[in-house]
Amino acid sequence: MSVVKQLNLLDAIRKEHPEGIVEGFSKRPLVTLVELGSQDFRSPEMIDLLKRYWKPSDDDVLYIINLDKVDVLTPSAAKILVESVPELAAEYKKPIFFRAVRAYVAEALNIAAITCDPPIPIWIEEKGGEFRLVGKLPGRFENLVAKLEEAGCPCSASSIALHTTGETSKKTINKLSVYLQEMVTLGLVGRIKENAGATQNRERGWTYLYHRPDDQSLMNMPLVDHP
Amino acid sequence: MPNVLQTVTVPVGITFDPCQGLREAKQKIAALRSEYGNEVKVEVVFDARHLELVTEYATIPDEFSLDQFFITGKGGLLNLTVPVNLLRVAGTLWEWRRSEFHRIGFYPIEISYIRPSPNTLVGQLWDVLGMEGLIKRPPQNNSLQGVMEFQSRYITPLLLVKKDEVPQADIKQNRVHTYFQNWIVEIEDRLGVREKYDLLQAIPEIVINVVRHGGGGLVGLSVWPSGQVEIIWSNPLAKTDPPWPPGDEPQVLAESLLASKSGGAGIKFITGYLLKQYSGVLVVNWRTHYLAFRSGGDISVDGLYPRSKEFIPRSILFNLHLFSSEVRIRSSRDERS
Repeated sequence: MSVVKQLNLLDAIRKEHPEGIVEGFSKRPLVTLVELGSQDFRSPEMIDLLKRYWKPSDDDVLYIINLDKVDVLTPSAAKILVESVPELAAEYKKPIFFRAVRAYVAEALNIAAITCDPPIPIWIEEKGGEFRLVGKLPGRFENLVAKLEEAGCPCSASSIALHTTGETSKKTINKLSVYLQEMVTLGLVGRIKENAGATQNRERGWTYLYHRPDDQSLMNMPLVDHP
Repeated sequence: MPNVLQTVTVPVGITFDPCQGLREAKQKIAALRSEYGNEVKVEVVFDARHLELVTEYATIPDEFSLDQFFITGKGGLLNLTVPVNLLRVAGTLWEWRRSEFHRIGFYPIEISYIRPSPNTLVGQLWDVLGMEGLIKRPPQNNSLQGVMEFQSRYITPLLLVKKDEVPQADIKQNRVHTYFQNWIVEIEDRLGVREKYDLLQAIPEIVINVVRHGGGGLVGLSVWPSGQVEIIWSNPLAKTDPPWPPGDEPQVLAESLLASKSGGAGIKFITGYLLKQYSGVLVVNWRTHYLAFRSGGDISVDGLYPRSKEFIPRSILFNLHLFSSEVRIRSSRDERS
């Protein structure tokens, strides 16, 4: 059964490295994630931590790092996140996104993405519900990411081809599939294997349905919360 | 005669330079040794009675020059490098005293201070910075009792990492982060919104850097009345293997700071974002060199090459100046109304 796994980062750090959290006692308490781990904690350790909580399996279709209640993220913490998340997403070929991201945390992730230049951008959902990519999206993917958003639901390469070019020739579909496959390999978008009969364009066999991490159909899947 | 404690006085002026301070102290000690022999014991007195607040200030970053030693805020506050340099010189002399003890079997110097009068503005600044505790041996962060007790609305005390605190650094560090965070929130009406969050991000990076470099490091933050932000921090330079900085040339230090991939993201955040966002400048004093990292991405080097290793402080100083246009416009509007 397909599932979505979520990690509440603040709760996890409270458990793993409470000294890394600063909660002021002034008139307006703020929560700052200063460090995600001890002195030598870097991207590999962050990846280990995420794996430990999520225990990734083939049933997982999406991972969410929830940043609820975090007001401030230091540049080093942001750097670790923007470096480790694309790496893990590429390893599992599943998208990961940050949820409930407050304005200045989004800004911190954005600055980290600019200064650290990860291979792919990261998905964030801001506190107001706006969903966007932070960092530089390779030009060859721009159109496809937009089309997937327009489609609003998981769709096959042939339906994207129809939507984009108005035709579904083998050549067009193959070309699109190359890019879609690359995006899946990088963990930028996800895909689900479906019986072709369930889709509009094929009657036999199976096909891949591609989706962005903000696809509404994913939100109806069972959500497993950590820690 | 050697049993009588001889005194040498080192004046602490408004342009107090660490190499100059060390040279003045050591040359005077050398003169006494040549007169009375190597057994002479010397009291080095740093005289800060004549320290003055300056009335000039600079808030236009384009006009910033390394010749301007008085980068202060409106109201004529003292450039924070002076008290920090005083502590750097004293720290280097304490180390020299220890090494001389191993060499000659007794401590050849004692160090004392004459503070500015408490009735003057400089004297008040001296107290707010917590200098009375910091010049003690061992030093004390006297003012770190509670955020409302230690703060002024313009400047935090200089917080010093004590050698014996390093093993428990994580816990102590968290306290210091909390104090700084509370102080920034306390004075948020004096900051732009983005500026407040930028400081909340930058300060923990600097505190972590200072704590990890071990005992003797210190850090302070000021938001001057003009809105100019000054962050000052200093790290002791321990002997490391491989040595850091990896050479004597200032360019090597600049490259080493910018190219560091193993550490945190603090320097990249400063040079890649803060300097541009606030038309800022980061001045680094290392040996006799002054490096200025500027908002346009260029780096300038100033200062003479050292004549003798004897007069080089065992620490590195970082002084970050940020200029918030939002606050500057607001403060000039307030002034007009």
